[in-house]
Amino acid sequence: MMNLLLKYEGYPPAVVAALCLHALLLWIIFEKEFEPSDLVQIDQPMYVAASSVKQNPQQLRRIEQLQQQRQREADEQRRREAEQQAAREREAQAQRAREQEAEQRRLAEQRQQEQQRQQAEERQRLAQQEAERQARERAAAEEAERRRLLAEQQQQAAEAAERQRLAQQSEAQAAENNIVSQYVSIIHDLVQQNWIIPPSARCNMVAVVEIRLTPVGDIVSNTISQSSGDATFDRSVLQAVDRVGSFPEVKELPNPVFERNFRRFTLTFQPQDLLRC
Amino acid sequence: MNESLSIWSLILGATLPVQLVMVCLLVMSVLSWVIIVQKWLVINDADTEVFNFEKRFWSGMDLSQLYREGTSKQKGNTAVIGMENLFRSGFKEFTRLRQQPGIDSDAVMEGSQRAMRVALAREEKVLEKHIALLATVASVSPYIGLFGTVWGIMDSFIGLANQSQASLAVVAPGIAEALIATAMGLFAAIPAVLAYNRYSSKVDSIIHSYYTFLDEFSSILHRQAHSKRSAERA
Repeated sequence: MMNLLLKYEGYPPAVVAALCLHALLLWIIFEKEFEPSDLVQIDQPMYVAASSVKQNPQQLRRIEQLQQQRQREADEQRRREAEQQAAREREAQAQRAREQEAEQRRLAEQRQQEQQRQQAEERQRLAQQEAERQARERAAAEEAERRRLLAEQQQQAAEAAERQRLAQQSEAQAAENNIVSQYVSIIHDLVQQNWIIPPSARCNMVAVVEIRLTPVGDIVSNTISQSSGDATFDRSVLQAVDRVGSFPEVKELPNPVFERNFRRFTLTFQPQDLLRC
Repeated sequence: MNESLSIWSLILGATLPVQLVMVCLLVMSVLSWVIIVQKWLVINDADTEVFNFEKRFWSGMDLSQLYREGTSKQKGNTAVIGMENLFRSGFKEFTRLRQQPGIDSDAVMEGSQRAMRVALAREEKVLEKHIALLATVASVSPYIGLFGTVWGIMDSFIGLANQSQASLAVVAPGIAEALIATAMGLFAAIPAVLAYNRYSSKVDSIIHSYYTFLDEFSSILHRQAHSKRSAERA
């Protein structure tokens, strides 16, 4: 993904992105319209015109009476219309009820016929199913027997192969262990030759050093992974490893064996090998 | 002023010098954004590459193995960049020189260091390319926008002087159109300033890590060259 973007030093996507950004911006500007009302809201002054009004009380009363009469007439008219409407609706309802009854009777007859037909079909279907089931069971039993035999054969073969493989593996493992222990003892001897045991060393002290190597035998790092409890003793062991500096012997090892065993390994130091305890 | 007033109509109604200024600013803005995105891709890539390559280099892997991996990467059409380029050029020179009989180990060291410095200069050039353009846009575009604004306002005041009855409605569109130029100038400048500061500090840190790597790697080569020599003598 990154690689594709960086073709031609990444210019094509950059150009596309920049143009898109500016096009979007111009579009937003296009869309935006300032309505005059948006810009400035100027309050127009309100003008109130004063005028005199004359009123005649008798005329007002007459107008009021006329309006009341009109109102009454309208009410009467509405009431009559409502009554007529109710009568029409009652008649329509009766008609609908009659129709529904007839329909229901017809449907009940139809349902009964349908039920009888279904029962007959059901009986036939059950008989057929029973026959099929028996046939299937027989076939399944035969198939299972055949499978069982086949599985047994396969398992036997697999077990034999597994036994053979394990034997081979353990043989290879034994050979490798042999080589490894040989090399470990060489390295151990080398270091021990360079080891100056401090006077504070006691017979029961044990120090374990973890060493990391490169494939050509250079030491990458060496650290105490299990201290003896005496700092001087620990330091003397590390100094001994440093004094040896490199173990060119491991160069002769095949690479996978090296990776498995010597990329990182530990050496154990006990003074009782050298001191007479 | 009853008709609605859109920015677009203002731009179209502007005088020619102001329009030229706007076009110029738009081009600068597009250009600076192209550089911003392109540099972002390149610098990000270099940054992750520094991290990945350092991790691989210090994993205790055999150096010739690492070199071969790079070669196969090149064959697979994947560009080898940054720190790995440094490593490859130094290592190649080192192995070539060492194969020549009777060459001094100091000469070997000097040759491989020179090769690495050349590669480093190349990488530096790739990273710093076009960053100066961002600085230019950042510093110049506000001035260009200001020029457009001043010109536009001047125009509208000249128009005001010719009218017998002066009102705000006569000058307002002209001033509004002139101010768009300033807005565009700032729009181009602000991202450019941000990007310039960010990228230049990032490029500095990447180049610094290149220099550190160069020193570390040449100390490894130095050790190897001199240990070989003493082994031959012994």
